[in-house]
Formats: sequence, C-alpha cells, structure tokens
Amino acid sequence: MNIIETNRLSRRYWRTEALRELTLAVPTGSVFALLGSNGAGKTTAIKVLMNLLPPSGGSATVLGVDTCRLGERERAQIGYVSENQKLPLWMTVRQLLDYCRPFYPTWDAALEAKLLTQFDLPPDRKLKHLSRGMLMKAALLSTLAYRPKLLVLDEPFSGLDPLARDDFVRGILEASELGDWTVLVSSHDIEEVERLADNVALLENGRLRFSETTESLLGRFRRMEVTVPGPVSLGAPPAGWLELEQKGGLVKFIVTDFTSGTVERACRDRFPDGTAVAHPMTLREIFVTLARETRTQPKGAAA
Amino acid sequence: MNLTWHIVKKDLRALKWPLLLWIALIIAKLGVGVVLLNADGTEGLDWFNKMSGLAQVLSAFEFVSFVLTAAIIQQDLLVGTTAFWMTRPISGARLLRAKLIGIGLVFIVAPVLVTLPWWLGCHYGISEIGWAVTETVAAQAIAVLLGLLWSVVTDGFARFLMWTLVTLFATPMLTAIIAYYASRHLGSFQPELVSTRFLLVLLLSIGGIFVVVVHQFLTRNIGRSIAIIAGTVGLIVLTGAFWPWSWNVESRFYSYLIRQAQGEWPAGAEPPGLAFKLQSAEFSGRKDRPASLIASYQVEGLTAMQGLMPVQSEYTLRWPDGTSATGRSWGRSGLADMMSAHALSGGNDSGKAAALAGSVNFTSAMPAPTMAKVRSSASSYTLPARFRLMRFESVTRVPLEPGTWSVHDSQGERLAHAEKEGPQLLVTFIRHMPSLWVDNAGGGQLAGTGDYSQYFLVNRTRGAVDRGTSTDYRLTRIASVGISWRTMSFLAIPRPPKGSVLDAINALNEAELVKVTFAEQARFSHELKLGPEEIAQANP
Repeated sequence: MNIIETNRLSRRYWRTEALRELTLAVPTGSVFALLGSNGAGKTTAIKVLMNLLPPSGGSATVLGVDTCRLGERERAQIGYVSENQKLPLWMTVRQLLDYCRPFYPTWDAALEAKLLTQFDLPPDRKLKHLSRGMLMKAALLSTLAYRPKLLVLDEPFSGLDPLARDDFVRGILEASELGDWTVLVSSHDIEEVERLADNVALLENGRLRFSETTESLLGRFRRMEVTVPGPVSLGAPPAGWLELEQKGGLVKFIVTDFTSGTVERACRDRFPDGTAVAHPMTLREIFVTLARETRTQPKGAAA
Repeated sequence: MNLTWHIVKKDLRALKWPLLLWIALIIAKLGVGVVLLNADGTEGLDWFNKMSGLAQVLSAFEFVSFVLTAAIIQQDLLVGTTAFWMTRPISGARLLRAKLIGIGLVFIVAPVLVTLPWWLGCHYGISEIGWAVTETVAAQAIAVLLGLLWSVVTDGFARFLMWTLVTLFATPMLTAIIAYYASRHLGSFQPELVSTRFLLVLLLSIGGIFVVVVHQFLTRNIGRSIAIIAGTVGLIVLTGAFWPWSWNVESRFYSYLIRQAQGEWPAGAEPPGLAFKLQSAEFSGRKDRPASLIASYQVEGLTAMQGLMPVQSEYTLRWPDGTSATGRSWGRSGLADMMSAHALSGGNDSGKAAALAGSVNFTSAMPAPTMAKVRSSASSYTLPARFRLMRFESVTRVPLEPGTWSVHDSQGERLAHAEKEGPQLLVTFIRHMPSLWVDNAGGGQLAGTGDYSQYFLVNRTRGAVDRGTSTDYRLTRIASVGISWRTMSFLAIPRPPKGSVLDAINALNEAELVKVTFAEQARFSHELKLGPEEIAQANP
C-alpha cells in the first residue's frame, strides 16, 4: 500500500522543465528520502504533491486522492514542514498551537505538551524572536501534534547549525516512535537523511535516477580496492563500475550492483594477480559518486 | 463556521493595533464634531474652519482602510507557495468567507457602531440612520474594493502598494484618454450618455474585482486572475469610450428619489377649501440658454394662522407630439414675511400676517434643449407641487446668552453667543442637521423635517423688526451630519440714518430677540397645471 503515488508527473516553469515524468511510490509507514542536488526538482515535486503547484503533466495521488483535489479532510492528515514556509511570526509558540488546534480533529493535547517540553520551546516567545532551529521545531511541533498520517519535510535542515540539526533530527526520530506515520523528507543533506530514511529516491535534473530501500541501496554499492603487483591496463570499465582508477599498486572503483560472487569473479578475470577488498559506502558517498558521474556524462546522457 | 470565525479572530488579533488606530481615527473625527457642536461661539470662524479641516483630514485618513483590507487578506497570502494556510486544512472558500467576515466586521460594522451614538446624539431617526449607514458603507466599500483587487494577486505588501499606486495614477489618465476619445466620438457632450457609461464602468469594475477575488481564493490561479483583470480593464475602456446607448440613469435616479418623496405627500391630505389661483407665469433667461419658468399663485382658503411651505418637486412638460421632459422645481412662499409680522405683533395681530399667507411661487429650471423646444412649440406644464401646511405656534423671547439645544426632529439649534457691537446685535448659532447625499443630490428631502422657526430682532416701541443678515456662515459635514456656524447681525431699526448711530444703539437696547415657530400641520401635494396657451404667453 502506497501513501503517495505519482505517474509520469511533470512540472514546467515557462521553458524550464523542473520535473520530468516522475513515477514514484512511497510505501505507507516508510521514511522516504527524496535526494538530489540543488535544482534537482525535489521541492517542485513536493509542492506538486501538496497541491501548492499544479502539475504540467501526469498525475499524483496522496492518501489515495488526486493531488489537485486535496481537500480539508486530506490536509488534516498531512503534516508539512518546509524551510520556505512563512509562519505567522507575530504569534507566540502557544498562539500558533492554539490557532492550529481546532483545525485537526486528531489533535493530541498530551502529545503537544510532551513535544513542547521535549523540543524545549518557550511557549510565550513570539515566533519572530525564535532562532531558525527553534522556528523549525515549532513548525514541526504544530505538525506532529495531530499525528498526521503523512509527514512531509521539505529541506528541513537548511540553514540549521549542526546542533539545531541534530536536535531536529532527534525530534523527528523520537516523534516517529510515537506514531506510525509515513515521512517524506527531501534534502541534499545526506548524513541527516541517512539517520532517518529507510527508502531513498534520487532526483537528477527533474528525473528519477532510482528509488529503493536504503538497505538495498547501501547493499548494492561498494567501493572496491584491488591490490595489484604492478601496472595493469584498466581499459574500459564494465557496466556498473564507476570511477575506475589506479594509484600505484592500488586499483579503485565503485560497483553499483554489488553481489559478492559476481564482483569477485569479475575482479579475478580483470586482475588475475590482484586481491580485491569490498568496502561498504555511506549514503553520502553513493550520492557524491552518482552526482559526479552525472556531471561527467554528456548532457542528456543521464536520462 | 467555527473554524471560519477562528480565522477571523486570528486576523483581527494580528492587526489589532492598526485596526484600533483606524477606529480611533473615526472616533477622533466624531470628537471634532462634538467639539464643534459644543463651541461657545467666541472661537471665531477661523477656528471653525480649522476644526472642520481637521475633520476632513481625519475622514480622508479613514481611506487607509484599503491598506488594512490588504493587510487582512495578506495575512494569508494567495500568491506563491509558501503561505502557512495552504498546507493546513483550510479551503479557499472557507478562507474567503473568513476574510469577507473580517473585512465586513472591521470596515462596515465597526464604523457604523462607532458612529451610531453620534447619529443618535444628533437626533437621527430610523430613516436618516438608514441612509447614513448606506453612505458610510458605500464610502468604505470603495476603499475595500481597491484594497481587495491587488491584495489577492500580489505576493506581499510592497507589490500591493506599488500596483495600487499604479492604479490610482492610471485611472485618471485612462479616464482622460477615454473622455478625449468619447468627446471626439460623440461630437457634443451628452451628460446622460456619460452617466450611463459611468454607471456601466462602475458595475464592470465592481463585478471584475468580485470575480477576480472569488476566482483567486478558489483556484489560486494567478495567471488567469491577471487575465481577468486585463479583460475587465479592456471592457471598461471599450465601454467608457464607445457605449452608444443612454439609459438616462441620472434623471431616472433623481425622478425615483422625488417620486419616493412624493409618495409621502399624498394629494388626499390637502386641507379642504384651498384654491390655487395663477397670478403670473413667465420665463426668465436668454434664448437657447438654460432658463427658468416662474409661476406665481395666490392660495385662498388658509386661515390667518396658516402658511404654506413649498418643497422641491418635479415638473413635467408635455408636447402635442407625445414627447415630454421633466425637471426640478423650487418654491417660495410668503411664510417668511408672515413670520416677520408675527414677530412684531407677538403673535397677536394676525391680520397683516394673513395677508401674506397665500403667496406662493415656483421656479422651474429648464436646460437649454428643453428651453429651445418650449420656444419652438408650446407645451403643457404639470407640477405636483409639494407643500407643508404650517401653523403659527409661538413667539418666544430669546435671552441673549448661550442657550440649550432646541431640537425639531433631526435638526438641532443652539444660540452659542450673543454680543452687542455698536448698533448691531451679533448672534452666533450652531446648528446640526441631516446632510445626506440622497437629500443633497436628489433634493428628495427624505429626511424628516418638522417645525420651522426663525429669529427676529424686534423693537416694538419703534415698530421695527429685523430678520437679520448672515455675516459669517460655514457648513461642514461630519459623518453625514451637517454642522453650521452662522453669525447673524441684527439691527434694531431698519437702516440707521447717517449720524444717528447713538439712536441705533438706543434702539438696540430697547429691542429683544424673538423666535417665531411654525409647526407642521400636514403634508400634501397639489397638482399645478399650465396649458400650452399660458406657456406660450409666458414665452418672452
């Protein structure tokens, strides 16, 4: 069961195609990270999903409803926190919560009180006097308190200092233990996402590069180091080998579809005297590798 | 609905200080009115002018309500993708309802509630309050509409202000351009056609703004909203410049007002035994120019204590070919002279007054085309003349000291100050009266009137009476109430002969100020007619 589904979803700004035929499924109950560099189309995708922007083509459903028809009932089950959202800064934290509360039949006052303490937010301070991190936490609190079925976080870590970022992530993690919600988080901040996400999708130039579970992604990417006795001819790398290079007696490359037996066999074939060691990669390293690869390819080839 | 009110409360709380300041402006304006009404008469006309100017400035400041309207709307922006409400369970329709309620409360209900004590204090009745509320609402609606238009299609206050200023500058320019093309197209000025075009442009503007606002709230499709604005502006330009059919809106409207008023003056209420005898009918004015028909009557059948007070009416001219024209007619009677006679006699000798009672004349204004037609072909003339039948009530001596308010219906008057200066007595009166657009423009006198009184300086020893001349007069208007400052100069002998100023001063010491009051007995209309022959004879 998917809480979000898109089918060839596109969005065009005048002549620029920000989102190209995105077909994606976010499983219910997952923490789904939408990754990509700046301008990859993450925010556009989320805005279309939230019906903040109409799609130029394709379609999408959230909670089983066409995004263009999201009504008050659906919105009461969706939480949205974005770095760009303009909160009513004249309100105090308490006034913000008082304002939001009546709109949500599922508002949990006990959870609100718990999160208020947990996030260490001063209830009587005006939002305009809060730091950026506190402001994001206030927005998150006003979103989590009604236990949304879907929590959408659009670049929530931008502009936060490491401490605030850590607090924020911890807040989400702790909150996620309080309910069984689905989280869709877009970010180019891979380390933070890695702590949260169990599903990952990568957008590049508005296109979906891949979408899979974090476990599967981390499982199929390996940084390989092959120790060879002398210079070897590298030749053209086989499909699925990236950044193949040799430094002295060490040949390095990254495999994108690691399965133990297959890669070892391929190494033996190519470097008969070599000793291969496979190192697991972090999400960040995978992301950087793919981004670098995209950059080195001629325009349009990534498609 | 609870959630809608929840949004309304949020907006009002967010803008509480600007809104309170705005309401304070209204209260300050009314405060100026209270100060004017309580003047002791020694402040002078300059002071009255300054206070009046202050009230006008405060009234002008009330129009910042267009900015406040925008502030209320832009508490929840309709443009862009970053507004807080857009991702909350708030539909566009609910938000629109909330904003309209908020705007209605602040700019319609609040000014009316704040001004209500002022109207009640000025003895306005239900009818006057109804019209005053209409005026207040209409004035605020202009500002609100201006604020609504750009606030729903801009993404912040700076852009809103910029586009509003552009509109405020562009509108007169566009009007001038339309007027230029219209004048070339029409050949000659046709006021009725211009009125029709103006009305259509007004309706298009209001309709266009309404459509844009509703569309933007429900769809947030900024491109289409801008297209609607552009389309409406195009329609406005085309209508303003080229609309060919005149609907005679202006004359129809005034006729409506007068008909409404005439409805309250039934012919059946005419006292029995009255007879109107035509004394003379003649045209004044030059050929092919706007002119007037002055018809004088002698009314028989009034008692010695009765007089007639004519009220503005609408005449009709009919030609044999079936065409007709209408216009306004003002009347005068001998009532003022009657009052003077009563003042001198103290209301005891009614003979002289009775002789003056029945004199009535009507002046009917005729525009140049009507006049030209009358001169070429005599028409019949019908005037459903309206009268107030007045009965002598009293002559009372007025002490020369500040007095209390004397109120008749919705008009009040107070002697503020009196002083002798050489041979003249200077008396300053402060008055308040309904100053409603519907009366001022239409002459319908929908506002109630009752007793009629006038002041005279009487020297019975010398048989002199003076109704006084106005030396200073100013009228200001505060929240649909007219406030006047009038200083009257009275002389105790009609014209002091040269060298006898001392005599005039002595006469002044012998004289007393009196107030003659006539009470309204009945209101009725009486159809006055002139045949084509009489009109032809009146034709110079």
